[in-house]
Amino acid sequence: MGSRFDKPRFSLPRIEWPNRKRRSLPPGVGEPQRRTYTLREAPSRDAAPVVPPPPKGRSYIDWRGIGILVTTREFIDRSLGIAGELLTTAGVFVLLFLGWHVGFNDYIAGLIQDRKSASLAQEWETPTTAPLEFDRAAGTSDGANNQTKTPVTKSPRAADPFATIIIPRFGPHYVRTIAESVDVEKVLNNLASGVGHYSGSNQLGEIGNFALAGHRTTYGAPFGDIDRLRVGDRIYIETKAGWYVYRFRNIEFVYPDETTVLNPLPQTLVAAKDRLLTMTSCHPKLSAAERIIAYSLFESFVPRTAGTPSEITSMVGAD
Amino acid sequence: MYAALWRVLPGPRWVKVLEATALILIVLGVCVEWVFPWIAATFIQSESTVGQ
Repeated sequence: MGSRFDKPRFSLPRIEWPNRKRRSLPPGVGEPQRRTYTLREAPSRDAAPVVPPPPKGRSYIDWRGIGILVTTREFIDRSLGIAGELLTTAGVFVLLFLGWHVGFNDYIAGLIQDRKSASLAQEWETPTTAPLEFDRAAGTSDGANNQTKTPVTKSPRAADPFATIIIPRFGPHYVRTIAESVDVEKVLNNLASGVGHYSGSNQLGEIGNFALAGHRTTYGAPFGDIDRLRVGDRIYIETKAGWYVYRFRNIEFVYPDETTVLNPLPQTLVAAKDRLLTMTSCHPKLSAAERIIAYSLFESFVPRTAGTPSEITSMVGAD
Repeated sequence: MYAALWRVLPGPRWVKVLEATALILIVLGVCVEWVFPWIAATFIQSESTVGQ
């Protein structure tokens, strides 16, 4: 005869943990033993639980010391699953890195370098009473090209930014900072500069070769479009004193050890009285196998008092 | 591995989704801020200078 106490008056919510059923274990394994014992044969608390023999054709991986008791087949299945997930993760990681390296980081670094250069130019615009950092006495007159004396920059300290380079062919916002030395970490890979001046080459404004290096890809890629320069394109180098105007002349491809491109007379086409601008970058893109060299010839010097050259007024933000 | 991670995350499903998203963003942030720059500086040769 049933009484009202037979039925539970409330039920606890069912908690399934883990929520994935492990089907490969035979029934009975891992579940509490439900048989009754007499007092004498009751197993002690420390006794190992009884594991029934595996079904025919199966075997156990029995590492209960670290909490593992599964059939061999399930062990292999899950190991392969974890290995697959690890490999997939590694693949995604590599793709993410590549996307970051040649895309995202390059783009962000370019934006930052443009902005830093623009603010540097802004500083030069504001009149100060401080003496110019340029040695006007060292400048030589350049009668053939220009009536103005061309000032020569004093050798800046390593990693010091001392000029900006403005190339209209590279886009309407292209302004990058030139810092002294071609130190990879402090100058070429740096968000504050990006373009480096070979310390061994001539100073800006000096007769000879003013040589620069910049990345073709990644880290803002200051010289990423170097192969798009057309003969006669103007390249402006701005300092506190004014603008050095160069005209692009030709491209050369060399091996990485070809340091002659930094010489005051890198090519026979150059006359000993010429001021030359040499830009080096890597070639082909994303490779370090060769170097691409762009030569430009000095055209004129525009002092700051003469105002921003008309071609770049919109680029340097001077209004 | 990821299934185990999903099981370990506490809360109902929509909370788990939020937690997983937060974890992914944290991992991405650590990669972009520290791991990727280190890899690029250590293993990637991107020389643009002439010299030895």
